[in-house]
Amino acid sequence: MKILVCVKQVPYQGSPLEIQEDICWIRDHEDVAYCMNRYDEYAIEEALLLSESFPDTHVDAVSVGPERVSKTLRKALAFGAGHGIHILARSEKPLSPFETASLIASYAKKENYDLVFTGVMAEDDMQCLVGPMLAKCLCIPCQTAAIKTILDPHAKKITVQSEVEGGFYETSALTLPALVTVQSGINIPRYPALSNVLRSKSQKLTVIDAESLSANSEREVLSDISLPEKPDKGVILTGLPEEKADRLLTILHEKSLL
Amino acid sequence: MGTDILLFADTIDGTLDPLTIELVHFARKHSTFWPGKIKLVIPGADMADVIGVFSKKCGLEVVYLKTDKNLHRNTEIIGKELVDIISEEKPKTVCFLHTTRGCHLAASVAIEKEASCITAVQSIIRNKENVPVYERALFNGKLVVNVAPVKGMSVLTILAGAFSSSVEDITENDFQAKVDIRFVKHRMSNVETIDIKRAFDQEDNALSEADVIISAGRGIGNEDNLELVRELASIFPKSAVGGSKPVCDLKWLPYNRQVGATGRIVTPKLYIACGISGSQQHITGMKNAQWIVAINTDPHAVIFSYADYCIVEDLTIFIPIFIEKFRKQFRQTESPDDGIYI
Repeated sequence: MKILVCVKQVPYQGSPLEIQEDICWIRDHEDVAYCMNRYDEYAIEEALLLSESFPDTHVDAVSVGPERVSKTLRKALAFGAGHGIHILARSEKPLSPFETASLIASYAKKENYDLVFTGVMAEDDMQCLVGPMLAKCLCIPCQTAAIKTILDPHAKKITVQSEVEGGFYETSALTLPALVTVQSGINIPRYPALSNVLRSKSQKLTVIDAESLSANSEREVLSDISLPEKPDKGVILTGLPEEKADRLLTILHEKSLL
Repeated sequence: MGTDILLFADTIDGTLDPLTIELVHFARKHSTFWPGKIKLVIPGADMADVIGVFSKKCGLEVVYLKTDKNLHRNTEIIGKELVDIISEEKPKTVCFLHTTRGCHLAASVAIEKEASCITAVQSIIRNKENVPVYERALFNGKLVVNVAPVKGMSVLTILAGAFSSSVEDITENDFQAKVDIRFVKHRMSNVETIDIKRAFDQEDNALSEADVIISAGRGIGNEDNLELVRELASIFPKSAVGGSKPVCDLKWLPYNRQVGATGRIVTPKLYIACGISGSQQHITGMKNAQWIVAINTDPHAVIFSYADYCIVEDLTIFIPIFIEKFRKQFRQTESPDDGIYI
């Protein structure tokens, strides 16, 4: 079995976000810390859990982006992925989900993966598109927002329980090869084992120049990035914690909520 | 005659997605800038009555994509049917609700039809060239960006809560109500839908019945601090404890206490968000509460944009002070014993 996990490097949630208007994205400067998209950590963990249950299963991690992305791929190796593939895209502009999916597809087409995992969405652009677009490019079935998977390699099927908005769980069986996008709650990502951490530092990554893969022109143009207009309906309580507590008590009491 | 805006709404467990009305409002708003014909596609099994009522209510032409039991949940098959409908109707814009399934279908259709794809649209803007530009959020609402489709067809997903959900002004003068039944033709699929069930125990109605909900987010730090949240809840009559998705994922609270798009949509009189930053899916679940109080250490937390009262404090300091002051002022040492759902 060959499993591919798609991971994205995203700015760390607490990083200061400074707008760079010409690319409609955030400025890439030294104060911005990058990390692996949280949902992709669940995707890696799910792949590793399967590889531990079924011998002869290989887990590869792929990521698209500039030089710094190699750090996130090394994190995937530290978790336990066997091999990292870096699709090196030098563009300063963020890639659209369509561009990312077509780049990964043109690499993955030749590799015959049985299973592809992605996170349900990326924390930065919040699109939820790369997974299903990649599945469509590879002509394989897809299930989104998995919270449980059961693999049957002999029947060549994976059964996926998905979370559906409105408070439902939906169970589907997909014939392999298939792509599954992973929702939080499916597992608890492990701490990297020391042996894997050491291996990840020295292991070679496969680097593929994005320009060598079949390129697709962009279909959406970003413009006018800004801070959101605050509704400003809220009152910010000021003073010491004691004063704020007094004020809140009065407010809630006046509204007969207490 | 072709269609200009094709909408798609889902059915599950015999009900139409309640957010469909917002999708119709989006299309009406879109057509005030670029007038055109709107058509709605709804897949389902045994949904004729519900769809008929909805079509009349909105004065809207609906294609009822009729399937056998559970087949309407097969995204692969519904995707193929949609591509057929799009090829016949040639719409300029195709819109889904911003759900995981809506995004999945949007992605499939956009690849198949080589269309632009923009998700989580929260506003429509008419630019200088008189073409539509769509606003969407980045970084969990910390930034917003405008996105313009390049050319050809645009596939969109519409963010919950961004457009009106009023049923009052949904009917058009030009009354188009009509339901066309279309039977699903595609059968071959590599996906088999096995079952659909309620995610949690419907018996626990604490969140829907409570007047006051105190919710915990990942920002409470550790599971022990849930006790503080419970204690805060205990001073309010008819109160319940809820939580964000990360807190339920960590198993600190059961999923039937999750507030959000994938949990419960709640409308209490008072909602106190403790250590919740305010993800889109959480905001969808609580923004219609009558009064919202947010306690968070991060002054930039998105939740403060939705709160009526904002308290930038460490909740482990603030909550004990608040409870102590309450007890002194109201001389209450015991919890109110009527109707607590904690």
